[in-house]
Amino acid sequence: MSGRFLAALAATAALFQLGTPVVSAAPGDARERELTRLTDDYYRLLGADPVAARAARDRHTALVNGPGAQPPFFSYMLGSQWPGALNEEKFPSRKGTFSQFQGCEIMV
Amino acid sequence: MKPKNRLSIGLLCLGVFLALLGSARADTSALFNVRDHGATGDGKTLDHLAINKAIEAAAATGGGTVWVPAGRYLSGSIRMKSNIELHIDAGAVIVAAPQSANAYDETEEFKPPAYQDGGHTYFRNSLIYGIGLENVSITGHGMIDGLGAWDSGDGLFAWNPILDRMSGCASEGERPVLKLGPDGKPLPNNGLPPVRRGNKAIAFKLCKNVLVRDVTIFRGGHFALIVTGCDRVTIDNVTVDTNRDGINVDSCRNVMISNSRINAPYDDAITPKSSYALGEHRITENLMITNCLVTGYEVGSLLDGTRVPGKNQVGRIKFGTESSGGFRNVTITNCTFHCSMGLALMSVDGAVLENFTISNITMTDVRKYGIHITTGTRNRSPDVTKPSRMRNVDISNIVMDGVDKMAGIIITGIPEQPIENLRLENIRLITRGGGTRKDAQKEIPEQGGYPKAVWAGDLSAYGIFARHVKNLELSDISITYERPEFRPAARFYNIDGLRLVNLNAQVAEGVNVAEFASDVRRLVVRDSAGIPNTQ
Repeated sequence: MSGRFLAALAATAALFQLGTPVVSAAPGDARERELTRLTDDYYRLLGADPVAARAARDRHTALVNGPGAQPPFFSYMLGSQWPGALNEEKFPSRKGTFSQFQGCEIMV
Repeated sequence: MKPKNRLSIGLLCLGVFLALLGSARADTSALFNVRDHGATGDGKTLDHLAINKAIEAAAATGGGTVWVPAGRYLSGSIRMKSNIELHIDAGAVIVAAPQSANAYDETEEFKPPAYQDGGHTYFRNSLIYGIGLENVSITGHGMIDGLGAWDSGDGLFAWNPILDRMSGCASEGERPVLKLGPDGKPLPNNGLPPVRRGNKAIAFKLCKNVLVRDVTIFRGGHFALIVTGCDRVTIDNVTVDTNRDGINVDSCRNVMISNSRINAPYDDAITPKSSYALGEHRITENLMITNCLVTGYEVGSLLDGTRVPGKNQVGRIKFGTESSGGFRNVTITNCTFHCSMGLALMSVDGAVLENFTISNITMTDVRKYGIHITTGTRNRSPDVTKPSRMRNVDISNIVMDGVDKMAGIIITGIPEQPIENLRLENIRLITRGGGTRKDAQKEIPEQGGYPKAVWAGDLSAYGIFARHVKNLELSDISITYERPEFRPAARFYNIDGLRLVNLNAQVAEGVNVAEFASDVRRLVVRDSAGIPNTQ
């Protein structure tokens, strides 16, 4: 096996380390720990008890979409990328910020 | 052996050796290492100039493979050329330069009005792009990391208000806002200067014979991969984990997407379109999507394996919304959806969607709906003379498990132009339930304008909601729910030619399996529990 191949293999392994885990239970961060637990529950229960698994997923979704859980600019942009959505006179309700969830609702 | 013979054999061996050497040299000369052209791969130096030099050198010899060996290559726009294979080797990462580096090419001139957003209008401001090329490919087990910024300037922008303003993008149901020159005609780019605003990872426009294979695209900006107006496109074994659209196929023909994984929690995963970006109505046709996984995990969590359910879980396969040219001759087979919205077929800009076969699909934990089939009157396109049409769609062998409350299958035509010849066969639909008797009484308005799945919220049937269809056949359908559900399993309006065969649905006591709400003609029912057979 050539050295180049081994190097490429190692590099490939490193490549897939690039995706930083989105949910990382940092010490002392109760919210992140709860998110991680809910994700774990979801996959653990998905085969045996899908209803309970989906309930865990719902709680996860509610938590990540809860107040203050995401930067407000994000959803504002998602919404306003929609043509006309920047027209705040026409759409006064879109003035300022709305939740990320609402932003995606506009898109889909 | 005589000395003369020995000499002859020796000369022969030498000749063979030289010939082999020559051929080996010929092989290596077709390989252009970007490091030989000045690329550093240190992740700090802008390397796209060196990569472009390597591409130009290869093109000057008639083409070849431009090799990007392991390393991190900070890059602005990489300009592909004909007969070039850009091979991003295992361990190589092409990283999008920050916007502040001014490293992306200027947007090309566009004469408004656009009937598509700025991301579909401009191509040169991409990380890797090619326009008007032939025989072009991007291969290798390396990665393209667009950094996928929304507008912080760290990488490819996912949001393009400046590009929208430049293109004079026509709004939904509104006239485009255009700046006119002294001659009364719209000014190019709406009178705005070109910008260097990188917003896509890979873009090909008007190319022939395009191959993208094996690469991983992470945080790809507005589009991880977009092909517009291309012929003979192969996208194979690609992994996309991105913040907006995954793969867009716009106004292309002869396209194969296979063996790929696309995670796009905030937008669509695979999105065939037929926009007006080329200034004409051009159909997307002869398209095959097979052996693909589409998901709505949080960005990055497909790649790192944690598979965190996304905040919004879009990540679907969706035809449209841009549909001014139409869609024809499409197969979708052997695909899996997880934590995403379902399959959407939309023809809403005055063209036709026809001749689709869709089979062998499993969906689990589906947001909003499992299947949404709709024609509409958005008409975001010039010279719309006919209503949008849809016909000849066969969907079979589908399992949808854990579909949200809204409805499992939504089919909405338009009154003056019903969807024609739609067959759903061998469908197992398990919804999450939760519908109330009040939901069952809801009046559902016609769907107009942009075809949002949420146009009416939860629908008045939990399994199948169908309206304005001519020749609808439903056979071997199983519909059940997980939580208490008080809506009927199916509701039909204005169906001319409805055939129900072996429809079995769970319903609460006192709730009908199917409601034939209005104007259902030529009804045939066979072997469907709770619905008497017709004669």
